[in-house]
Amino acid sequence: MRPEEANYDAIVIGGGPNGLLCAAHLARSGSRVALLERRHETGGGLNTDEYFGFRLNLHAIYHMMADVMPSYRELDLASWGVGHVFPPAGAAFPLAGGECLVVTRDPRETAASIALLSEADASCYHAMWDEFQPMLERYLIPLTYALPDPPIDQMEAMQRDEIGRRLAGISELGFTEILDEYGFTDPRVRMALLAFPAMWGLDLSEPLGYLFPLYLCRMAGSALVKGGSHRLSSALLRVLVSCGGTVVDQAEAARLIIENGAAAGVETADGRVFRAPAVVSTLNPEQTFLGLVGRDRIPAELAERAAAWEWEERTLFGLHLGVRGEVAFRDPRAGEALVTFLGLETEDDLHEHLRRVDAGGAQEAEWIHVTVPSRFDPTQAPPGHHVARIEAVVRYDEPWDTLAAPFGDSCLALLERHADVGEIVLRRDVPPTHIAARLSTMKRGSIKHGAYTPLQMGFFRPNDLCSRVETPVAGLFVAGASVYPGGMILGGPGYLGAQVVGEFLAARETQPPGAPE
Amino acid sequence: MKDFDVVVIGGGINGLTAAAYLAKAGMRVGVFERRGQCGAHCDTVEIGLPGFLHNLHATWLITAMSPVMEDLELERHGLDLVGTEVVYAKTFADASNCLLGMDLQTTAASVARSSEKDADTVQRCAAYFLEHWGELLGVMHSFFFEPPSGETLAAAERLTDGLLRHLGLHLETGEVTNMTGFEALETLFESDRVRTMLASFGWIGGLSPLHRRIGVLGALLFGALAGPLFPVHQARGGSHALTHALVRCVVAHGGEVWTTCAVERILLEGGRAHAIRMAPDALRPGEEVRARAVISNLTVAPTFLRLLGEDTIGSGWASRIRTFTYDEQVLVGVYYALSGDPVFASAEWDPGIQRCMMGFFGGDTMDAMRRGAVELVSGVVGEEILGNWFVPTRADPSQAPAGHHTSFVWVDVPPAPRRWGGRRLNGWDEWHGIAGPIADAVTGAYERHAPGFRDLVLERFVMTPADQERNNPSAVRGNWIGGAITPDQFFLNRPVPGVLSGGASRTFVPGLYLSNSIHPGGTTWLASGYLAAREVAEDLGAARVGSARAFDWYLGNQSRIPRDLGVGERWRTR
Repeated sequence: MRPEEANYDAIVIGGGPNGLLCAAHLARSGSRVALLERRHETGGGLNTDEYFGFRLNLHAIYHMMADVMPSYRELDLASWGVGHVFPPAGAAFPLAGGECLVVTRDPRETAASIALLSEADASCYHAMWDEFQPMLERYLIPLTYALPDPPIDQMEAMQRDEIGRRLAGISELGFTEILDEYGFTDPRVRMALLAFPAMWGLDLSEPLGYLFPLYLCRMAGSALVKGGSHRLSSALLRVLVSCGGTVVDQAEAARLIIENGAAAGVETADGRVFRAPAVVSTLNPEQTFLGLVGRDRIPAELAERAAAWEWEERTLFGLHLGVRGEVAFRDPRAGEALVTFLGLETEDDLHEHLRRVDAGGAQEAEWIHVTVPSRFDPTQAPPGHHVARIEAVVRYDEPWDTLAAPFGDSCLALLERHADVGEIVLRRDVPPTHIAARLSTMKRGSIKHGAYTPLQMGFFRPNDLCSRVETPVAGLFVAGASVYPGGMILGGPGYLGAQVVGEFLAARETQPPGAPE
Repeated sequence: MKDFDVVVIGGGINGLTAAAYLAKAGMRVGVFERRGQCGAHCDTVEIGLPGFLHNLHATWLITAMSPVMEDLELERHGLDLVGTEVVYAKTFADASNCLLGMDLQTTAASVARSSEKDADTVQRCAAYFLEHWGELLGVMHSFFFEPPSGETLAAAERLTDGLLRHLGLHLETGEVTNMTGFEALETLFESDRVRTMLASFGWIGGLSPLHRRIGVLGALLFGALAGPLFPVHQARGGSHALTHALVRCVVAHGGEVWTTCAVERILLEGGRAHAIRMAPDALRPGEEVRARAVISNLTVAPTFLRLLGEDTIGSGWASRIRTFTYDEQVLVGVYYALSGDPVFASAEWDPGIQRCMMGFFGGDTMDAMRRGAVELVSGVVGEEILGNWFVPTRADPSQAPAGHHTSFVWVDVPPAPRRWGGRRLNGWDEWHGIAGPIADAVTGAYERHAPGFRDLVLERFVMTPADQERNNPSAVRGNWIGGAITPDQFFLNRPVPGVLSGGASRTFVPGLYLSNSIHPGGTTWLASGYLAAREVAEDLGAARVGSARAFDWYLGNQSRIPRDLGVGERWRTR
């Protein structure tokens, strides 16, 4: 018997991290779940291509929430084979003068590193970190795993204490303004701190200041998933399957079936029908509302917002190398970090670099960040070998067909100015066009299912009609990275999705027979 | 970590098969895999251009004939088989070809183009098998899915005796089976097209026509039964879908699958295997896991020499196991992303080749095939490319973007080449250097048989035996079938006489079983894993696992397996 010939409680569309999380939580609480994945492999952005002993993480690699994501505990993912590796440092910035700024999860270590450049900025860092930590613990982390409230309610909730008021205050600021606020003056230190939002393509002047504590503090102590990012997704898949869930590969959802005004199932591109009273889409808003549901079946307002969904201007180019021998940074401190930034010195350099990226016509990489996962997790390369991942912030609209190879060469050349690289036995140039083609939700090579702008974040992600998982279509739910709280393997959308859908299914069950749906 | 009833070392498809059967039987089962994902030899990667899926190892799946298909409900766990109307096509330099079809008519019609007499032989073989259908199924089941035994051989001999009489040949079975594959083909067929087609098909199945006995098996059995009883398919989405289905089956029955969890040691207590210890870089470094039975899905040498060690098994056993060779069934693979479907020059002769996902070029005559086979065992990379080509997207268009295709060519090579063309080579260490030039030669040969091929190539990757071994150190020398299939490492002799004790998988170490390097070889019929599961269940006092017979699933379902999904209608009319 083939898997589709059955009815389910819930159908989850998309086998990326949030789809898997949502499906796994639902299945574990007893729902009959089918997960539909368009590709031959689940995991979405949690992708690790294993190629002759090298493990290439083409998309997600930094796991910022490794120690706080509730799903790890609730699904007991450690017992399903998820382990984390925490490198000694989160980030390193080797500089032209021979200094190397190192950011670790220990603020004293980081401040000591900053102090070699500027004593004053080292004190600023202490002061900032001392505020950021409680912001995270009291607000940002708990809120990541709770449904969003309208901004006015959220602001009001933050007025409870001084830390909340400070968080509300910096939330109105751009990233550069936050550095002003805390009094940083050294252009090198400012470059380094701004790298944390800039590496994700964020606009440094957008008032998204609440992301700064998240990106800085969590990246400073970020982890790799042992064995590659895909290990997290395959563990979620095994949880799902062990709880009786069904995974259907190569099932591209084409149309939402609506009966009596409510979602009733999904039809795939090849004509298979999967029926359930709850359908969860983890696709992007265009795909969900304009594709699966269709303009004519949703309120005009929702169609408009889906059509107006904004994609990032900036995305990432990736160069992946399999190396026989070492990738040895000349400055050993650079080699201790999960991610090493190369190519820029000062804040002005960074702003100018981003302006040039935005202007288009890139010829070569000016700023790269490098991760050598096999330094911290030897299973990611064969013995005696390493695997390196180099990324550069780029614009999607470049002639990548012809530019990819020379741009990759320039990434490598920049790396080789700072590191001795052994014999390259495997090389993959991955322009953002490839990411878009592989992962259809990542339109325009998106890193997180759509731009992080104030109007697409928080209660507005993807819009105020759908950010709490439910949608104007009864029985249709959304839980992908385009939904609050967003992407980056926070694990929020899938977790929240499972809660809301679980409640929906429970309420349905307790309905008296014959009651109107 | 908790204790298990059974631990399986190595999450390849046969290890997973054993695990799934035992989990389904209610045992606590844990699979421990060194790689990040299971299925080292059943792997599909989207390594380069997006949308192009490359099957780096197993590609032509023969799972449909396996009882595993029904016993483990692989279809329900997501395995979706697709095929092509023509199973196999050998194409020749004179732009002719010779085809094996999923059905007998296709084969007979194609063979008749080369020799009416040979077509008659093919049809008479088929008629004989049809008449002795039940007996044939019985022999096939016991040959592949029962421990090797004299009884099975005797039954096979009776069947073969009858066939020889039916064909009017005055030969004893023993005379034929002691021939090489080449000799047997020359005895039975007159056309070199037909002979080399069958010789090459057996060869790519791991049974070299150079060898006595196994060469005959490869050349005649595979060829005679192709289609009706030797079905060849692709898994929709690539071969890794078979791995997926097996993993999901293990997990759905409560088994555990641990990846990035290399095992470094099998631990004995009172001479009996009772636990395994994880490697230092494993997810659970150094941890020990106890079990009532240990199945090693690693090949025989790493199992005994590395996981147990000479200090445990003694120098006598170690020396004996070191005689096991991995030096045949070793490949260079060249993988292509294509902008269109390659058109073989011989499509004008018979367009059936365009409705076929795999075949062979090179070795047009039996002399040329012999030369290639002899060069191989002499450490020479052949001057002529004998290439086993695939266009998987003709069966499963989902493996490439619309209108595009993937293709690859496998070439049998000596693992430690001493000579290629005019060049002297220094063996195993040369692979990195000669991979590119050999791939160029393969592309050139492909172009000669399918003019215009070169212009279709968007991207190319090369896989050498060294790459294979780096990917999967248990595949020593990159061998793809668990160690060389040679007459002295086959059937009752496999892997090494004496290593097995009372069955197909029980080893001389009590509590330790092999699901690799044993009969009938590690292919996608999943027989080795099936045999190991049966014996472990028996020894642990569980109910007998598995009730299906070989071919049960296929005979009941073959008509609904889609064919020719990716092939243009224009090749359907002559």
